[in-house]
Amino acid sequence: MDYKKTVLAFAVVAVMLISGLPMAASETDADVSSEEYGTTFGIDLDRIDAVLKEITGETLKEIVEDLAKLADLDLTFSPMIDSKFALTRDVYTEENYVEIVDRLGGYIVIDVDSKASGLFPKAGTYEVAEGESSDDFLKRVFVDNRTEQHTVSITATIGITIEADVITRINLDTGEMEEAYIAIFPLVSIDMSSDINFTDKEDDEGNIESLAIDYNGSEFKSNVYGNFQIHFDIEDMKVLGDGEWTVKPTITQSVTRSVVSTDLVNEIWPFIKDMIGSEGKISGAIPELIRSILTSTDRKLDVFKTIESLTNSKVHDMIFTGDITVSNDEDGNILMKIKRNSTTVDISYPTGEYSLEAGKIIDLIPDDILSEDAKIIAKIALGILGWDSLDVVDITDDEEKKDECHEIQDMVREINKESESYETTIPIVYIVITIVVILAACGVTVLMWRGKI
Amino acid sequence: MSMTVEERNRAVGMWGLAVCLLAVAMGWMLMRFGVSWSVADLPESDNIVRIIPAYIIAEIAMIPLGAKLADLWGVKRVLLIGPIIFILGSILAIISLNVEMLIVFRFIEGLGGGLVLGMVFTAVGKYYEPDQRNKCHELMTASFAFGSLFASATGYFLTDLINWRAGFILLAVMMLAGVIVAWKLLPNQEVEKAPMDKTNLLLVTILFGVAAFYTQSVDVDFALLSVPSAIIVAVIIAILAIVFWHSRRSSNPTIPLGISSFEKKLIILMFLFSMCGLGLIQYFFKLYLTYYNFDIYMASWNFMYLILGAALPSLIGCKKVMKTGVRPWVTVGAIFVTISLILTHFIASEGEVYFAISLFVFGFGLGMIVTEIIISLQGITAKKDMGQHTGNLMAVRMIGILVGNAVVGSYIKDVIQSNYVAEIINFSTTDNLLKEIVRHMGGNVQYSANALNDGFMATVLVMAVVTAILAIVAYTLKKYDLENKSEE
Repeated sequence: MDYKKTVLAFAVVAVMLISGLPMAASETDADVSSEEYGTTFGIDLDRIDAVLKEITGETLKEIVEDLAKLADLDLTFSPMIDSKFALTRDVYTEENYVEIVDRLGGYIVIDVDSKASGLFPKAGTYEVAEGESSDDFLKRVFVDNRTEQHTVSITATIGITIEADVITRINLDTGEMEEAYIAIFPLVSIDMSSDINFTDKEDDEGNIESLAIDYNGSEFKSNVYGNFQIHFDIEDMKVLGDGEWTVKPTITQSVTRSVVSTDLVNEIWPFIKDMIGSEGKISGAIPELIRSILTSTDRKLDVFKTIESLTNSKVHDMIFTGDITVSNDEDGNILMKIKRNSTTVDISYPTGEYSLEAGKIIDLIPDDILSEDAKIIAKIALGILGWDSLDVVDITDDEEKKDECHEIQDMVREINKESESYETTIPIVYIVITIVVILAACGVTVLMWRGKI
Repeated sequence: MSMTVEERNRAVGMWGLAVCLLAVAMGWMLMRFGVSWSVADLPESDNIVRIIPAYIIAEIAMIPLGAKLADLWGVKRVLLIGPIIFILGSILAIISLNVEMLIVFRFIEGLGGGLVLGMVFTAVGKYYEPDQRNKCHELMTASFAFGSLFASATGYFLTDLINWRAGFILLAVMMLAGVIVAWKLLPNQEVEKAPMDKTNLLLVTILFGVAAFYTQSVDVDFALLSVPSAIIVAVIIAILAIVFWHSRRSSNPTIPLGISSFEKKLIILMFLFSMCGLGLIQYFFKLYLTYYNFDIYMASWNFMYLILGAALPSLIGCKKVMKTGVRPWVTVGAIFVTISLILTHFIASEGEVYFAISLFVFGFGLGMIVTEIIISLQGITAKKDMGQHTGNLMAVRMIGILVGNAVVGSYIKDVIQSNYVAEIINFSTTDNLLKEIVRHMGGNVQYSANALNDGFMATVLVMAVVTAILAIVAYTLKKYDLENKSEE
């Protein structure tokens, strides 16, 4: 009997222990709380057509075909546009830290299939005449020389995916932002084929010298891909607490990853070259050499690792500072006033639910990157698309919305991963050489061994 | 003076060995310039930094073995093993699907390369009498120098033009051609039967392998002054002690024991001159690239000044060393190396002409030292023990080069680069932020160039002091090589 009681006692204790473990575990997790906010947005041809119809009374297809008629061209135009984006924010609060993970992922696919019949410029090479402006030259070629009857097909697929992650970490004890991490993965792929082919020749300053036109067909493929991951260590950046602070943070930036595609290097090189300018301090021919290496073959390379591999020197971190005034509003949003020369830029950094004012973000882009005119056009475009204001709402309990957001983001991530993955294929010629040389070497060795040589 | 058919065959056979040596030397530096760019068509891997060390470690580990086997089996039997391993490693490297496979095949290639390297210099001692070895040693030294100095540019050219794989095909074909010529034309030699102490061979191989591993890992996997560094040094010392202990009990040890103080001095001089001289060459190359002109071909072309400087004293020195003894050559050579290092410190960064002059004088000094020491040491060594002595001298020489590289690299990296003070970009007051960032990045690269210059210039002064001391040590050498005497 005593024996049975002992067993029973052990059983009761065991059941209590087992049932208590999840409770203990949940108590441990009790210190960690997470909230999720998110929204999805997108655009398709029907939406664009609806907006355009409201403004112009015509769909996109009709507008383009009407424009072609003005140029005496008989055009059939079949566009397809598809786009989906997801913007999410995860807020994790753990012990003394709050980590905010913002993630944007989405894509735009534009597919165009068109066929134009009518008069086109005569095939041949056109030289820019002495003193002739570019406008006059293009008018001479495309208006005055339209003498040949052709039917020209153009098909193009433009795919754009973007994935951007921003992670910030705030110490709740000190109220300071201590770390930030930014990762951006842009991918633009263009695949175009046409019956008409233009080949222009430019001088060193980028002015057109001549233009050759033929109707033998052309194909254009471009793959602009980047994977930029940058980590920031931040000191003296108080963002939480009562009152207002003037801070001068030290932000140390280190590049974790900087993979670029050849096409991207070619695209941004003129910009970098312009930036380096005559005041550039870069020694000798390093930039040109690095560019020639990055673009020598169709491969994706890490810019920083390449520089380090070539110069055997570490590319040092960059340190930034600036004058910022920070305060918190009653909703807990962090309000930052960043002094920038004679002006002050206001940024509201919410720590939870927020409304993304895309137009305001465009205003924050420095003019040396995006001109005033370009900003106006961008804002109009955002307005037409309905993306000028996006409400990122609490979806912690909305499983359906969560799945929708994650599905889009996961798909984009998968596409980006594929873009950087390597399919190492060994050309057949190397395999043949390998077999031949191995056979020759083994044969020679055997012959030497047997005294035949 | 006309040669007999046998002499001509032997000479042409030596040219075959020189081609093999050229391939081995090229293996060192083939992908050194921009290795991550070279193999960018392979999946990304953090192990990319191991591609070059894999070859170097394997090669150095096998040098004493290749030389010793030449003693035990004869040169031609080593020709049956070393080159085929090298060729297999090279040719399999071209079908690598990832960096890790490439590392393994480079390691195999290095194993073969080490056997060939140890055997080639031993072969000169075995096939020729002491007063006939000069031309052959000059040929081998020139072959090794050309291979090491121009492989970076060759590798870059082939990668840019075709693919990095083309470089390995070139190495394999060169080795195959060289070995056929050498095998066909070199005479067979009688080999005295001697027992092979496999344990001793293995211990010596491990010793040199670990030492080479240390030089390739320091500052990559761990800092010079760190616990792992101290542990590996302790391991090397322990293996060294075991090797000595075991060798004393061995009937046929791989490393020579009981050698004269003359030979000891030669080995020490070879190590230190390799460290202070040959070990700096890579930094001359980098200095030109980052300080003058980032042009791999121009940087390589500058080595011609080094070779031109070395050619004349080497030709005369190698010819006369068995008549004058090694002492005057090494002493005067050390003085010239000292002068060249001082010149480098004061004028090399003043202009490309001064840079070339510094390299020329540097070569002039080295031309009186390295090959003369090998000839002198072989002059006091019996043919049957040629591999034992030559293999160790060559392995010590290679370790010296790597130590020189590591010391300079470590100094530049730890002392100079860690002093980098970043310019702070103030986004509140900077007019054009993007331009400032790009300018800053340019300054960053410029700083690295200046740091390399400053670090190198400080190091050469230290090396100049060391070579000045070595000149005194060389002056104390006795004339044992003239008396063909290895024991005091």
